[in-house]
Amino acid sequence: MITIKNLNFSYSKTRPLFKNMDLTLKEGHIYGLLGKNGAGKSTLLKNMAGLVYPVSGTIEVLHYNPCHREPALLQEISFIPEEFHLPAVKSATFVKANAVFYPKFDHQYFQQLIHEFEIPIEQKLANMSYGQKKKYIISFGLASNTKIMIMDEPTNGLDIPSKVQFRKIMASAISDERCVIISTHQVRDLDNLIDAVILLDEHRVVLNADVNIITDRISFKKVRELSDDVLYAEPALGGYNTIQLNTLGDDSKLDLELLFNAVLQKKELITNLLNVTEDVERI
Amino acid sequence: MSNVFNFNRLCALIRRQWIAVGKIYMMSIVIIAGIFIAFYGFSIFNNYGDISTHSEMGRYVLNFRQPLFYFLGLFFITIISSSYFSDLGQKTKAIFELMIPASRLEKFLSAVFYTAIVSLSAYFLLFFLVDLAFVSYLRSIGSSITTIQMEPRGPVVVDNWMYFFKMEKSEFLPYFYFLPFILNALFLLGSIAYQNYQYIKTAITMIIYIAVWIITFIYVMKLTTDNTIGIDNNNYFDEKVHSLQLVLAIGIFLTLTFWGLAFLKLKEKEV
Repeated sequence: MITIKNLNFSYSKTRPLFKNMDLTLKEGHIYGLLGKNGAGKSTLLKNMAGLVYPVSGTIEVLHYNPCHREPALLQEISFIPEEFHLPAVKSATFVKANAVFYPKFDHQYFQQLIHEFEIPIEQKLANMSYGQKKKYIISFGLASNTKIMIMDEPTNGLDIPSKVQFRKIMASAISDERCVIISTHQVRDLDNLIDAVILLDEHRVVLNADVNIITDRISFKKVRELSDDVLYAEPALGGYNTIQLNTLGDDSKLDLELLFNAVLQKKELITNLLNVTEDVERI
Repeated sequence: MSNVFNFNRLCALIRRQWIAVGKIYMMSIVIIAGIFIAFYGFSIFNNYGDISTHSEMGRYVLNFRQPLFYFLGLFFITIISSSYFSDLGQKTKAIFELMIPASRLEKFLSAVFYTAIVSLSAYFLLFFLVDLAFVSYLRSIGSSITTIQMEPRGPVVVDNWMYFFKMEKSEFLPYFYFLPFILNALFLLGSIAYQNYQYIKTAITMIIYIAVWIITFIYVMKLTTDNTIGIDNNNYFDEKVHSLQLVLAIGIFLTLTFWGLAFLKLKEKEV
């Protein structure tokens, strides 16, 4: 669905952001894109959407080059940016003007989402709170029924009930034809939502793995004392949160924050274990 | 459906863009109407006592119309053109604008439609209506609508309170019809090329370019004609019309060039 090969990108000649990056994303998945501040999460999403142009390398999205911004591709991409502006019009006007560009836009589903998120659509969009605006464009993006949904920090500004609703709605929105990429640094918001993890560090993708495979190979446990088979540990209340080899086939819950820290601090050990090569073939 | 141009998609885009530019357009139109009315009102108010008694007052009361119409019109088109793509300089707005599923050609044509066709038409119509209203009023209170002047070829009927669009224009005026379009192209280009303060930056760039060209032109002419005597040898450009035709041709060429550059800049615009 999205194939990136040898991507090189930089905002300035002296500071490359991506070096020979390779990445393949497939339909039917919700990817969580993680990385430190400045790792290039938002820039990678913009590269996929054709909002910035790579220095070299190729990006293919649904067999199109996103840099050409062809309508046939754009009508299959919903991009929810972290910061955005909504015009001072009511929802009906906005939908009337914009939905026509998305052939699969589902008005009924949109109304359902608006109702579920409790968005006051009688207000002008510009007068809504940041969280309400965010829920509004997420609803619009979902109702557009595009094959690709790119979301940059979608849970920023959402209150706790809205985050729960967001996870519920996103989980129900995934289909075999759709690929959702969610970039965030609030990893807890992605709990039980994503089914694949992409981790950016040092100008490249250091991890791209299905959640099932991660939890098959390593287990996340809380222990009182550290043992030799612990791969990575962090002090926690009353013990340690650990990552261990899953030799017994335990069914543990993925701790994204722990995995994130483990990959950053023991990169080779963890990525080798998850069988992720340098050019990041999916495991 | 074509990825380059589709008429229905262009129409949908034009409808959509009204949300973004409509309010600015309406506000600009109201401001322009206010300026027109202020000029007419001020002039009539200042000469009110003489309007009903002196038939020749028509020439003085309404002599501001030509400079007002041309200069304000050119200023208006630069403002409108410069504001159209200024959103692309703001990350929060640019993403939605670039991601809307329309081709780059359609986005560019929509810009030309609003900034050149709609704005010029609206400006002409507005000036026509304001002029119609005020001149009709003057014709109703003026001392005499027409007077007969004795010319060598015989008596001529002169309209003292003539509507602006009925006035006889200079025969050379059509050679400058490209001016609003070249300004439109230039300020559209500036609004895409610059990230912020697009109007000021474009205006300054334009002034610098014009100054450099004028200085270069004067320098070259001085260099080539110093200590020489002009000989009338039926040079092609001795005819004023031919010089104006050259100006028009260069004007059209530059307009198309700037439109082309604006389109290319739009193609490669990044957020």
